[in-house]
Amino acid sequence: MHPDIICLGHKLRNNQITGTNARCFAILITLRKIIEEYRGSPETINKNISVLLDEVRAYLRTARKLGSGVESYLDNLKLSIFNSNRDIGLGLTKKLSDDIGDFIDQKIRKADDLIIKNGLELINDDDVILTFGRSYVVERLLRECKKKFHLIIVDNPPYYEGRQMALRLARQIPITYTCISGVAYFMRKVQKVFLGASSMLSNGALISRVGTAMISCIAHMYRKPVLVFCETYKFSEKTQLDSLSENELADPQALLEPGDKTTAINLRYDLTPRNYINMVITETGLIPPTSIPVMLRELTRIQGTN
Amino acid sequence: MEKLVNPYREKKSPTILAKETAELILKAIQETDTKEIEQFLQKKLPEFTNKIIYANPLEFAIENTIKRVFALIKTTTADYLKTSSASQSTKKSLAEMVQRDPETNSDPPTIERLDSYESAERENILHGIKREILESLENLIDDFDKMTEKISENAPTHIKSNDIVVTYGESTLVQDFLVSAAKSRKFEVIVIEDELCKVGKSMCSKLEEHNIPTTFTLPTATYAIMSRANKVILSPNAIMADGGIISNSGTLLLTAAAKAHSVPVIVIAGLFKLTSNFPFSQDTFNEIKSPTDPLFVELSFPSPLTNVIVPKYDYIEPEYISLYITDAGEHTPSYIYRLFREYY
Repeated sequence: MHPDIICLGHKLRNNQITGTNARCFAILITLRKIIEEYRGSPETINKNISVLLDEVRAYLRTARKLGSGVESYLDNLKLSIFNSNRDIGLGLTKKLSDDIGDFIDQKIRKADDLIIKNGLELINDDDVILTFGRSYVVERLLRECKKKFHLIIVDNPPYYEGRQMALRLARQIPITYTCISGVAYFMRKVQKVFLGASSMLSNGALISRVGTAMISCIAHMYRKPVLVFCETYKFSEKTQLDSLSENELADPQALLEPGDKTTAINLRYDLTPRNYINMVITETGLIPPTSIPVMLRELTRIQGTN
Repeated sequence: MEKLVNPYREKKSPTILAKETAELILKAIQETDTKEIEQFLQKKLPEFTNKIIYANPLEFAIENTIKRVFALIKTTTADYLKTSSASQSTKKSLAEMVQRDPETNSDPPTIERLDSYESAERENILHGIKREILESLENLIDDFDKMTEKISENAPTHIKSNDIVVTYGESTLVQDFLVSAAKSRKFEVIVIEDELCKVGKSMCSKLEEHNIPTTFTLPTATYAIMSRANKVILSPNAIMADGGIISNSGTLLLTAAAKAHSVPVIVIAGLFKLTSNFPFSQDTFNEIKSPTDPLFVELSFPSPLTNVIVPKYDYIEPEYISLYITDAGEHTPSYIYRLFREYY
């Protein structure tokens, strides 16, 4: 196994890279490097690269479950290897490398630019915006916004990702930093809730950092709009009705002192039902959560014609 | 008295504070001379209790106990004087003059000037009154001990086998309730950590000692696990006059998630937690945690624009609560106002 992949596996397992976008980016960049460094026979290159991809995927899955966006992209990649010309030889590595580069460029970088462009119109002067944990897109959006607003950052134990966000935005935006227990106290004064996504499901539900469902529930109680910022590559064909049927468990020792014998559950994600979400901001525009399967269909159609 | 007024005293549960207040008043009455009891009840006791209330603005248990004690003193003296002067029908037997003290809005006990009595009789009457008051105060203090038993009597009715019960932070009352149910039922408990007090783990270990399978999790996971929960059991800091509760910050997450999943919320409390206040929003009766709290010791933001604001309490509206279990029976939130009349 390539040393870069082992290194990546370590980082994923130890939570050194967190956040769906960051993980996706790290995995694809490393994969691209490995593909470019392929030095094998050009005759059997299709089969070899396919096997290499599978091995890498299997290894990374043992470190940490890959996001649904990455998984579906890698499936597509495998399909494109299968469909490509037998005589392409070493040109295959270039083709795949370009493909990965395009994906990162279009679906992550440019998508984020467009999302931020759409999102900037949603912030008004003197708004009070509430956000939870740390989302890459939301952080960038708030940093690029030139209007005067107040930000409430709700933090999440045990990893305290909100602190990072607060530290980065502290110099330019007035921030109120609080724990999740205190959310109801602030919700009355909030105008909008901005959330990031790990993935969005075909039934309109949002999979995001554990605690997001709780925040949306309270926002719904106080009738505040909940806006989700999500790139289209995170849309998934899966459907799920509650947080527990499929989830990831992180290390329970993070909740306990060493030597504690209690059983602890450290969930990573939770599911926010469709009716708590008011709008999803994607690079293709502002859509209601019910339009996600429609968007998926359109995207696969476009991809099919390419 | 210093124990109760000292602002740096260690945090104690409302039950313990209430009991201590009652014991303190009992001791104070025991120590006063019979001759001065009238003076004491009229002037010194209200002054002294006002100081305690002033030093603990959000400790409703103390204020409530003081009110209860005054109400008890009022009724016992009235009853005593009625029975003792039954033979002297010429004298007015309604012995209480109620004066509203504007500062505390509570009724200090007064005994009408007993000048009409002769001094020897007077001394007897005062002696009798003192004895009666001491007895009823002792009963009140005993009630605190019997409270847990009475509340836990019906525990097996509410918790069924294989239920998953969710609770928040640590509470001896909830613990005793669950242990009492565990004697005849097998069920599981999920304890959600109280971020600000960090007592969830100790609650878990106490329940595990009684062989109740317990799982520990964080408040962020509340909505996620609520889909599997069958009941939520809570113990508040105070029960408000509208049927709502004030309890530790974070409880509102549980009740909001419970309502969304149609999970019944059972609130367990002793009646001394009944407070005659009406909160209108989250900040009517609330405090912000001090930035010197050990919770925030690692935080340091580079800019003066950043505030760290963490409220201590949550107010939960009566619509989120299904049932109150108190030592005076089980009631719905809409019935709570009736209990005031009986208790105070």
